[in-house]
Amino acid sequence: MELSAVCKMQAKRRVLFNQMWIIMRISLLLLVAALHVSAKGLSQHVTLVRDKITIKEALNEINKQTGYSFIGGKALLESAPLVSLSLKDATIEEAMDQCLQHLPYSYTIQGKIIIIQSQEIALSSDKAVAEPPPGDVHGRITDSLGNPLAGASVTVKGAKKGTQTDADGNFVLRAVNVNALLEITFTGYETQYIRWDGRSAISVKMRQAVILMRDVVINKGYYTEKKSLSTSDVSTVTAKEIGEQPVSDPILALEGRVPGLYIAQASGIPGATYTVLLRGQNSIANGSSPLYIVDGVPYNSVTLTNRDIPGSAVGTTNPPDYPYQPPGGLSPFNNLNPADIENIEVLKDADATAIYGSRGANGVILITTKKGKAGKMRLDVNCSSGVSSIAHRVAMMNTQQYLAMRHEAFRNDSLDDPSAHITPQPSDYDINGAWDTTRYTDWQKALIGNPAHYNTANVTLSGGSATTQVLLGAGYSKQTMVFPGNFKDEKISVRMSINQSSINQKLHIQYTAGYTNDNNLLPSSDLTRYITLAPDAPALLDSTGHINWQKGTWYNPLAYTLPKYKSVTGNLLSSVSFDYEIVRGLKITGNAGYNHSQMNQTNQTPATIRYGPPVASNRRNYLSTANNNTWIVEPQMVYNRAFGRSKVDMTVGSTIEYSGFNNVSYYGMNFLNDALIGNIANAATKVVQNNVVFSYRHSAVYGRFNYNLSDKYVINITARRDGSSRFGPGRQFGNFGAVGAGWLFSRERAIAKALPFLSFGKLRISYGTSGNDEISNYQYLSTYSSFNSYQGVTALQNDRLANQNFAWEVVRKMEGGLELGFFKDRIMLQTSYFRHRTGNQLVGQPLPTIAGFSSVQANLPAVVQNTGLEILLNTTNVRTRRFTWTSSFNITVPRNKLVSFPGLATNASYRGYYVVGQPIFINHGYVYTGVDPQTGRYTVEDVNKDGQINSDQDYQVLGSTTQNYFGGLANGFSYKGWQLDVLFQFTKQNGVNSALVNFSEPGSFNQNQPLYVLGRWQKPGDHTKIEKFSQTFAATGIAWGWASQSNYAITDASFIRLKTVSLSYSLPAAWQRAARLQNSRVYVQAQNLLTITGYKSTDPETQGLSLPPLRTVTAGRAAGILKVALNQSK
Amino acid sequence: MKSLQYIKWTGLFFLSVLISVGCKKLVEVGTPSNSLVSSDVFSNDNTAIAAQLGVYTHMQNYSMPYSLSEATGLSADELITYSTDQTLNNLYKNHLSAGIDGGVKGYWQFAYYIIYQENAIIENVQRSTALSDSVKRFTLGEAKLVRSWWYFELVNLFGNVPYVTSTDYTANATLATMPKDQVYQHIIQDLQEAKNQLSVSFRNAADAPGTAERARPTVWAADALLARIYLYNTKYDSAEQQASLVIGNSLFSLVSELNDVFKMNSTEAIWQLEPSVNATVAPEGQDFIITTPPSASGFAHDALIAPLLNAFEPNDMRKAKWIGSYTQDTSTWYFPFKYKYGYGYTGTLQEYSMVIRLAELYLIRAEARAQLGETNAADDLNAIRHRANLPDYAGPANKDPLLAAIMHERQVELFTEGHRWFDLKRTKTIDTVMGGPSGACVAKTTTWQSYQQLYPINPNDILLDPNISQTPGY
Repeated sequence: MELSAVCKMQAKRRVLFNQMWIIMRISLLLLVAALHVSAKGLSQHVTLVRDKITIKEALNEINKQTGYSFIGGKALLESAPLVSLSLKDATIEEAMDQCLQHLPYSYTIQGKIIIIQSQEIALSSDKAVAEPPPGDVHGRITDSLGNPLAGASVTVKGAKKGTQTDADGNFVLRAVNVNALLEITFTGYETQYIRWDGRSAISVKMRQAVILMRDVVINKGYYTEKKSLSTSDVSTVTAKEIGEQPVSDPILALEGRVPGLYIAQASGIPGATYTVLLRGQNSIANGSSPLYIVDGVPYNSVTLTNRDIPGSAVGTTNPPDYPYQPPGGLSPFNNLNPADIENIEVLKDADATAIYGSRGANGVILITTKKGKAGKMRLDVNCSSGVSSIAHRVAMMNTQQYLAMRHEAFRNDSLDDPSAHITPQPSDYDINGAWDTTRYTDWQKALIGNPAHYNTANVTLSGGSATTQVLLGAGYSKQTMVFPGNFKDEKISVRMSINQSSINQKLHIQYTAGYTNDNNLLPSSDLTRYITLAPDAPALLDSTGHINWQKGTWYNPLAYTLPKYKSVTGNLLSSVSFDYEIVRGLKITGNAGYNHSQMNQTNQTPATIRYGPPVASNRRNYLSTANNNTWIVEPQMVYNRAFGRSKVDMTVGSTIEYSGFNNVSYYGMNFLNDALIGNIANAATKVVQNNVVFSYRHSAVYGRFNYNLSDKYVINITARRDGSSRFGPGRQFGNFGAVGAGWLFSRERAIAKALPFLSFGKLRISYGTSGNDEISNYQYLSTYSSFNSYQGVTALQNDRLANQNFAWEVVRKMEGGLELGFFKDRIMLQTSYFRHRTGNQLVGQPLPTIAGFSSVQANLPAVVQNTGLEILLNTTNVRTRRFTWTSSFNITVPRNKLVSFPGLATNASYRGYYVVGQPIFINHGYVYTGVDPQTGRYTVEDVNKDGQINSDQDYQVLGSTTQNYFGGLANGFSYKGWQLDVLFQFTKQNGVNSALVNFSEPGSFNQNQPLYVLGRWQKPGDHTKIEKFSQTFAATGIAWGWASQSNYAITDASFIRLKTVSLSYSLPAAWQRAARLQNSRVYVQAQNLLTITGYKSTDPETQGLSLPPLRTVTAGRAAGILKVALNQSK
Repeated sequence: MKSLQYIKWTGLFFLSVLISVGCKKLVEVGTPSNSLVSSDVFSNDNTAIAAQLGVYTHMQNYSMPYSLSEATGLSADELITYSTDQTLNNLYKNHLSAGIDGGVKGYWQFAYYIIYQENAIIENVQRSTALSDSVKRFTLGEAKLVRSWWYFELVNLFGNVPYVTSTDYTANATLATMPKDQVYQHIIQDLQEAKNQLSVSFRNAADAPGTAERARPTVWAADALLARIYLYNTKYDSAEQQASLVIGNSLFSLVSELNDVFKMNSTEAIWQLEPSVNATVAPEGQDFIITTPPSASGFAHDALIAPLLNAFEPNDMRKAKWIGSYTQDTSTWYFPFKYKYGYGYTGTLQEYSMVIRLAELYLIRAEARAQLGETNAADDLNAIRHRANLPDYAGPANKDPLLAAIMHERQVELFTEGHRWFDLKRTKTIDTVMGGPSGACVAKTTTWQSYQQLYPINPNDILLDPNISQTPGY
């Protein structure tokens, strides 16, 4: 609310009261305009000591010093009374108060405009002053180029009258007072004020608003606030940034853009999951996934891909009820259409997340979809198409090099053990003549080298009146894959949103609903795994065009493309919310939502996947149906009020949430022929594999108290009492809370004077707690479930080791932040330092497998600390009328440490894994000591010098495979209609040494190697980094095994990636006008264009033999077609 | 007016808030609909039996007796693998490494998983007051028998191992390795208790006695296992007594037709496991019978090797009936053909996995008697030889040649049933058979080292429980 900024009057109390009423109502209409409040730099303060000057001179001087301009008060200026002023470093309010002292005028401040009104007009506004008689105002509103602005709001200041412009920008207001002040607002434009003065027609050109980042209103879920006044750490990614990237999963568009948010893709296959860590891993063993909320409804972030359905190229992961979910399966966020998203807000610190209580520990990600806006109905169409391909190939050996390696391996092995007569065996098909050694296949080209096509189309119809806004949208996207065969990910989405408000704007209702259908056809294995096949391995197809098994001497990777593996996901997301102002300042609001997602998987495997005569039991049809339902109801009450310079904002509310999951998986086998597999009824044998069912309930009551003094000092207190069904009886409830404080020191007079270049400065701190309940359900119960049947009787097995006594894991979050704006905010620097300490760790406490299970759910009195420095620097490097260049740089320096662990030394379950003072990601293994120049074998340190290498005695603490720092650099250039956006992403990290971990021992059968292993040991005295070739798992192979468990297997996997390039050109306004178009543009976008890295395998981000993130280049065009406006005022 | 409305709205609102906070029901979800709470399982005879049946389905679901036969057959002089699976290759090459193979941790983990399930059954059944006496007894007996069977496998695969008898994970997490001899004492004690509890007649899964189904162990399985364990521990008189109890029982007799020995419920079966639900063949048939060249792309990936193929005497019908071959081009592979129904068979189920069978008892008694110097030692040996169409043992009647003949008979009678590797170790002939100048390792192109007769222990378990010691040599 802008109340206190608006009202500052030396007048009777009744006047104030009336004025407030008027302004209050108007300001509701003006919420949008409030976003544009911008201080144009200059000083905020006035120094003016003059005796008896005209009011006109005084106001001119104030305008010069502060940039505030004046509207109204024509009569006042004409009457030119003399005033005496004595202002030293006074605020604008103080200056105005002195100017208008003893004069029958009052003023209000709207942004950088001061409206001067006669107190009589203000007082008598509903009484209708008799003269001159009211008349009709006709006018036209355009942009600076003269294009009509449809749906701009025109209101009479101080009266209840208002209308909107029609499709041609025209408006008519009936029975308006001649002195009336008209206020014209339009989203994205600066608000204008104009006095009618009885003119026959009014023409207004609107200027595009420059929205300062700090003036943006941020959504914190249960409430919103202005960024400048916020006491917490929230990052926002907007539709524009999401739209620049050709990605089908909106979360991937956040990569490199949000400080503190680390995202790593595990696979470049469309729809695959990825790792998301917001401010590090707080939990030793548990879920570290942020809480995702879409339009107020918790969104299931766990993949529905069922691991009982064999063979999916994106892999499978833990059961859905298992807290720790490594990447695997299809991402649930692939069911959101990036084009539907208005913005994504990332809530990080205690002040922002404590109100989410038990689930805010790992941060909260709020996704808000696009809503209809008032204005002419408009049809927006956006289509693009492009091509994806693998960006980088591993340099592998050719046939000659490979064969030479194999023969050398045999020679080496013979020399090692001359008595054994080691020679190629009948099974060494690659060199014993069974395979044609003159063949050469580039397996990367054959298996993952095809171009994949990328197509999207989005259509949106939106518009509305002041009271009703609607949006209808539909989207389609299709991505094919780089594998041989017809694989694709196809997605269709539809959605709608309706906003309705009462004419008096006291009641607002919003309804949104969206449905997405994603159809993913995948091969049954990621063929990237098979790029290590021998280069002389047989041809994929025989002369008749069938799969070539070469007499069963190999497993032909093309067989993985034969099963029909399909995942069809439907996702319905719907929410309704309302707010109603009961009395001034007091609102009740409510939000209810429902999310249903369902995935049907099928894998139809024909008998041809194996060599030999077709076997009926190979013909299988696996099916799985999984669905997840979530509903939430959240009543809330909000009170806000200004008292003098103070503003109070209070919220209380409660949450009731239910989530249910059900999954059935089954298969049929023994089909008579391949053609019958599609119908499971044709199977001779049908087996139900699994039926997973769980329910989750959550309920809470929460409150917030926010106090703001003079927009300079802000304190924010939040608290929540929270219960979760994941804990045993008596342990369900927990209390969480946080305090945040902000000091806008740039508004202190002394600082503003001393540092005139400083346009904005804020210091904020926060401290509080939030919790984590991301564990499996029912862990406190000892249960049995069915496991097949024996002689026709259902058999049971014990599910887990049960523990009744675990409770909340609690994160204590502390943060300090400094936000600075320089030179009219052309440079904005935001830095924050945080420390999160997580105690009462909820762990699947690892157990030696002799206990029957490898873990049990428990609390652990250990403390894990995540600290980090996050810097975000936004600059406007050049801003001229035609050319602008803006930059945004962010970097995160995360650190993770195990702070304490009482009894670690004697804790059998953990001492082998963790070390106090070290990150929880440390590895244990051998210490690598190089290739022995004499034997040519890898060596590792024999710690206890017993002459033997034993994992239990010679393992040492090795480094960790985490990020040292990461971030991104975005640059945006615009010149006339051209817009170029470039995003670089960078990560400094350690990763897995692919030479050792992803490839076999160099020299093994049918295992091609990266070219650099040619730098291997050949003869005694050689100093090399690669051991000699060998094809046995004797001494050389064992040494290779040691090295792969040593720090030699940890390598630098840092990279800089040119993540996104987006170039667009907006068609000239005149053309667009002629064609009745708006926002029409053509564009070219590229993703993962270039990667700079020293990493030696497929990709430093995915780090394994999985499909690397693809390079995608697309071209597209977008157009907005104007249609008739709804609900025209006549 | 306004204030009235205000009060009404706020009242409603706070009421809803209070409801949500005051009601614990909002955070209670009850028990999952797809599982049963443990205490309920053991308050009903049928579900208590079902818990024990779960152990059998688990073993068969993971092809357990077969998988152990394959692993030990590869380690010994029976099988070669054509699989690309590294652990299988390392088993064949006798080059297991604690790091690479995780100490063949699959077998280790599986054994202890089953032992946990049995410990949970024993604890719950003992605690239960609702179960009928007979179900209580039989379930306890079966649980102890299965637990013993797995401990027997564990000590023979890994040597000294931790002995777990409860479900208390805090205590179990720090258990120390127990010397093999002590584990054997526990096994013997368990089996003797089981003998008093198990049913004397076969019972089916619905617990009806007098069934032909031999898929649940009876008192005779306990006797047979005891006989084996006494033999392994050189308690020959006890071994002879136990073996005689089984051999003398009319339930069991040697099946004269070799092709029918492994059929379901054959009279030779002391304890069999029904294959996994809906399977049409036993894992042994499915995974041993070669129908395409053994390779990564075929289903069967192992073949028999020369030391076994050459061990058969001329005219041994077992070579003709229990060994199959597959030829393509100029290559021929031989495979165990004791189980006749393999990969691709879709008819009705014919065979169960054999866990213990009578022929072994004859050979146990023969060996015990030979060790004790009893004159009738060759009788049991000849019973086995006759069935294979071989003449009576004609060698010298003194102990050593007779023992050698019995060992040879065990090799050709019990091959790929998980005995050979253990026999070589307990008779201390392993170093010669594997590593001698004409030992099996010559063909394997590896060098035999004596420590390789035991497998390495899952290194993760050692990290988590330092009281467990790694097998010497690893």
